[in-house]
Amino acid sequence: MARMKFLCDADRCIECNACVTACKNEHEVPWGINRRRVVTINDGKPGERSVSMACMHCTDAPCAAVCPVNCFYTTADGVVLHSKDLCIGCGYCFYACPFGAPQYPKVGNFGSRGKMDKCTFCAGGPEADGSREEYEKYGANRLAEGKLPLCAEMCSTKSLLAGDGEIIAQIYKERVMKRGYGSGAWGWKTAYRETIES
Amino acid sequence: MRRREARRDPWQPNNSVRTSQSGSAMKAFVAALLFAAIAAVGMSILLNIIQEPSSVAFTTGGARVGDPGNNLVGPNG
Amino acid sequence: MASLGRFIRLTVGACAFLLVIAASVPCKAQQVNPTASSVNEQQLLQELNRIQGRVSIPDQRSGVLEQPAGRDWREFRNVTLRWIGGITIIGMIAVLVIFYLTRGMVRLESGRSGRTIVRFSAFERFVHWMTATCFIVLAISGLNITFGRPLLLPLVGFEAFSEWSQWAKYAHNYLSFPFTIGVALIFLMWIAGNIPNKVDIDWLKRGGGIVGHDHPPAYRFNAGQKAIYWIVVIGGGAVAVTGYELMFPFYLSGIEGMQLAQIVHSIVAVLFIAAMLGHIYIGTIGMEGAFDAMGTGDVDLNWAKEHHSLWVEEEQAKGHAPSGGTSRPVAAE
Repeated sequence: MARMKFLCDADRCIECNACVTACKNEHEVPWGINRRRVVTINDGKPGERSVSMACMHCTDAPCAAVCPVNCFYTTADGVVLHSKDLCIGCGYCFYACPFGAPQYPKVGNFGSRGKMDKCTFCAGGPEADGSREEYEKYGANRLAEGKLPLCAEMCSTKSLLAGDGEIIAQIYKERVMKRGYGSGAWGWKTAYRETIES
Repeated sequence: MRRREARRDPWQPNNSVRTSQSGSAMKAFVAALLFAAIAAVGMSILLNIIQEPSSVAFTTGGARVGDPGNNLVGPNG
Repeated sequence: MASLGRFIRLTVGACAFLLVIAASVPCKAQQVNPTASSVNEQQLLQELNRIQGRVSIPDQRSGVLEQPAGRDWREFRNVTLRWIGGITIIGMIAVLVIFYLTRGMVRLESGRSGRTIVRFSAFERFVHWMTATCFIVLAISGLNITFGRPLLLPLVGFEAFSEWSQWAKYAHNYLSFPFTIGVALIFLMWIAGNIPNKVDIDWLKRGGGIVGHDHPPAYRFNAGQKAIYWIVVIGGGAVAVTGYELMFPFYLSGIEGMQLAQIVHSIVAVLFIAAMLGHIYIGTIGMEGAFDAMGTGDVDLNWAKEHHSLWVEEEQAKGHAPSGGTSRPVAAE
């Protein structure tokens, strides 16, 4: 059974934001909600590095653990999804998430911050696959059509890889071997408690 | 010159001293509940006026900021 | 001329062929790591315990790439807090039950005199009941956030639990305002009577009437009540400040600040609840005649003399209470 993961090759990312644009367009993500973002460390200085980051779909997801209403669930592929019908907008998942994946439609937390939204690995939500309700709430469900997330498909340098963890780890290892360097799989230790030997 | 207080048997009840609040027990309690409810509702109205949707808070001037609709945020906004 | 053209084509073709061969052989000797001086994930995490950079998004908070402190917070919130809350609250309930079964209700030794004295005015009782009822709702809705998922959700199912939790959160956030107003008024109203003094030390040494059957003198508020007062004011102040910080996320602090606010808010809250259980006990079934103080506002004169003798003397001197020497029980009918 595949275990879906993301891997951003920080040595190849050129901060083009194609992944961000692809995600925003595919799911019609509203203004202010950022499912995927590109973070540039040491911008403009020697040693600048860019990493594309969204929900990493962690093993033992901390967001799911702290949710007071238990609205998260993990699919058989290891994709962490949640139900917007059950979500009460308390904001706890954001405090627990190491990657800042949860996004909220409202700024103040009186009553509710609105229904939490986050990267779904293009796998939709609890509604029926490909249904209109699912699209309105969670965006496109590409996984049900046998496709991989659009951010990785649109990456201009193929730095962002998405798919079965073993396959993308293998791709990354081969790259590192061929070119002779690699800064490692960013976020993998925190999300999956494993590293890729390079 | 002060008027001398009239002599009184201290063992007899002094009826000019207020010793009971005659039945304001429930009134105080109901008033408390009412005030709490009104304050809560009032604050909810006030705070929702100053609530900012992230579609307004996190967009720059160059963006076409309109109502993003219900898409992805659900009917509760 | 055709042979020259053919010759040129042949040469170009041969060169191209050689180029393709050459290009496919990796030149290991010239391998360069263009990102050698770049930052490294482990190094950044060790230095700062978070990784942060620049984003082009207006929400600058998304510049935080990784904050592993979220894992520690998760451990606190799911494990540590539940232990602390469970032990203090269940422990307090157990102590109160055992105390009631062994000591029983603290009785009025000289019996009711039938005469009363005003203890709390209507305004004081209004403030107390407003704060108290808000506290009950805040406590239940707050405990629901921490304990609802393991204890209540399995009983009522996902949809019902989410609906209830949604309303509980609304109540919690909006009733916090009258609660805070109440705490502030309590602080102002009763600060004069709640400054600790020597009488309190003596009262505590003599068991306060609760440990043993003594009747140590006290002013309007005895040492136990002063403790409750300061717990309410300081605890209430702490949950109010951290609570508003949680209600206006990231207005005052970054993500570590928000996690800390939740930690302080929840710890103070569960201790507060345990303390208030004791207060509710003593004010209802723990002591005969005590509830009158906040119920009608008038207490029996004998009760006042037994538990707050110095206060009664003050009130008599001011002319607020019927004067008289020792208490006399009402003649049996």
